Amino acid sequence: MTGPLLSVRDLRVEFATRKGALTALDGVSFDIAPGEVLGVVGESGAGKSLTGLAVIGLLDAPGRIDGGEIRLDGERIDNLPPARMRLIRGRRIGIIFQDPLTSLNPLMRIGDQLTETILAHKPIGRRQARAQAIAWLSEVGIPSPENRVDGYPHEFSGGMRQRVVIALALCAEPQLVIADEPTTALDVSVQAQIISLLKNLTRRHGAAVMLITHDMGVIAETADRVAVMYAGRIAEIGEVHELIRNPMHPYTQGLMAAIPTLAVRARRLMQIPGAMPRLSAIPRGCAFAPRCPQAFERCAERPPLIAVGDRGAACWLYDRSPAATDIRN
Amino acid sequence: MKAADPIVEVHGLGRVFDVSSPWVSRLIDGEPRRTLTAVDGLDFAIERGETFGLVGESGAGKSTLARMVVGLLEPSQGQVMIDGVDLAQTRDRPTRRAVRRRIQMIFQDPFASLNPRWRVGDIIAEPVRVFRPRDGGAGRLGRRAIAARVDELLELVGLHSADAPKFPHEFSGGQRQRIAIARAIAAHPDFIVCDEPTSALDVSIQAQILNLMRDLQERLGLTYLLITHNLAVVRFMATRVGVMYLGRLVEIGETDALFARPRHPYTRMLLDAVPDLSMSGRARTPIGGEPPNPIDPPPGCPFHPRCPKAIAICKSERPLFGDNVACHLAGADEPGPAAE
Repeated sequence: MTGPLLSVRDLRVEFATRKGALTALDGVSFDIAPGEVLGVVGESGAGKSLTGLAVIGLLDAPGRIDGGEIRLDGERIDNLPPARMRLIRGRRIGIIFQDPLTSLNPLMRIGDQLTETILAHKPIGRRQARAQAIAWLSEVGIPSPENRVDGYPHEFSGGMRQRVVIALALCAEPQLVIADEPTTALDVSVQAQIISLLKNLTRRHGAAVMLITHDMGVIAETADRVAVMYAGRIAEIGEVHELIRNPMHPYTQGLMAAIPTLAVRARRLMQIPGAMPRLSAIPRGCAFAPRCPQAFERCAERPPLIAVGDRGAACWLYDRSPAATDIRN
Repeated sequence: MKAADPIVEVHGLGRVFDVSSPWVSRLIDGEPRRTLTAVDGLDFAIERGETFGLVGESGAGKSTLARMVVGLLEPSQGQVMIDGVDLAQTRDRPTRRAVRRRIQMIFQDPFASLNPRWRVGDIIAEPVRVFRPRDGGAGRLGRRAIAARVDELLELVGLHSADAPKFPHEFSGGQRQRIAIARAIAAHPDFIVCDEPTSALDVSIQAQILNLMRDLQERLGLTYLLITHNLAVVRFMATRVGVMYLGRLVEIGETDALFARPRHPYTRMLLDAVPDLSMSGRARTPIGGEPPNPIDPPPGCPFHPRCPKAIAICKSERPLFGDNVACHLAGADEPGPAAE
């Protein structure tokens, strides 16, 4: 086993509007290794969900992929015809959305939704598929699955519904699961249960996860690596513990300091002045520069993702090339 | 427990909602009336100048309580006293008016709580106009004075006086919440009920709003009732915390003490459930189950089906709220200091 499972290179997504094209994702590159959990974190509008949608080929018009490539196990999937993509979606890439109420069909029994999914992706008979559906319900922790399998979504609580959605996403045993804010709609106590369920199940089945969330706490508990997004770009990427303990990009630093913690009652929270720019007004150069306390002349030019060890930060502060050192002195 | 200088006192406050099906369906199906007890016999006081945080999961009755405290909803039982005046009982207009001015509210969704057809200046000026002195005395505000007050308020919340003629859609979520705060403080209130004021905002914006709320509290001597499901926000803002479960208070305590040594098993569970950013790898008590349906709450202690420490009495007898906690085991089997 070599090579990444998912490889995204220089992904650009544009939205055509009356006022011209808006670039929603700009030069997004990352890899996910088999079995790895990559957390994608950022504030609303940073492009997290859009990245997920682009990977599974569910971008809605007027959004479209305008450049770059997405490879799953070495095979390009960003330019496949819809019919081929449909075979990959569900079978090789499972999806978990935020709201379990809208991702389940309210008119279909839970068991039928699972059975249908299993039948669509696996060469087995209906009876066998139903047995597997029940096994999956028990695996995601639904009590007495033999009875609940014929229930409708409205008969389940929020947490139980999200468990069913997880079963649906995993039942075809995909290599990659894209989970978009899987716990945001849930209460804290239920959220903790769902996180540990997702973590354990994907590990047991060897599936990689792209975990999209705005909650750094969820990332800290779940992810192996994390990508921080800002204004449609990756600001920083790296191993989760290191990134949280020692954030490199000034945006990540500000973001981490702004999160209130349970441990101590701070006098004041650190705050980043201003707000993330709108897509129509992303500044030239570094998108964070106008809010950055450490900005300097170089930031008028857009920084690439600069590698520092096995981490990367899109910030000129980490440019160690001789030319850069000259400028700073 | 009696607060030294309470601004708000809540006595035996309860609210029951009728959630029955329409009567025709009830007649056909032979269904009885069904009620939901959203808030059940609450007693607490909020001291002047403090921030009282109220936490709980969805369905705990937090927002119902908030609406009763500000007088948007009539209690089914009990009373809310603001500086000794019970709004629901007082019919004397000048008294009601005087109390009303002193209570304001900040809502969760800054996109829904501002009228999209009003200019920001008018939104903020409304409470100034409504609550201006009536009898034409020295305090009477003219147009110019109102405009000056609006400018002052905008600057106070970190916006610009040039923002007054704009419409809400021209602002981001965080800026809109600033507008909502400016409106709330416009009539010089003493007490503000904040219902999930930052839940709709991103963390970096949340930090700005929380800092602003604390600054304003210091400058204007405000008292807050802060309702949220986010424990870290309560930790940062509150001086005292009440924990609600299924319409009842299960524990009240000074913030530091409550976070360091939670006494009710539910509080302990809530604290354990918060994802740990410091990744200390602390041991967590995994607790199963979800909050039960408030239409059909469990008998005895409502938390007993999820409680790891439940004993026989918990299943049959509802624990009384005493010594700031509602748990049969409190005192006898006090959970040890938190392993933070």
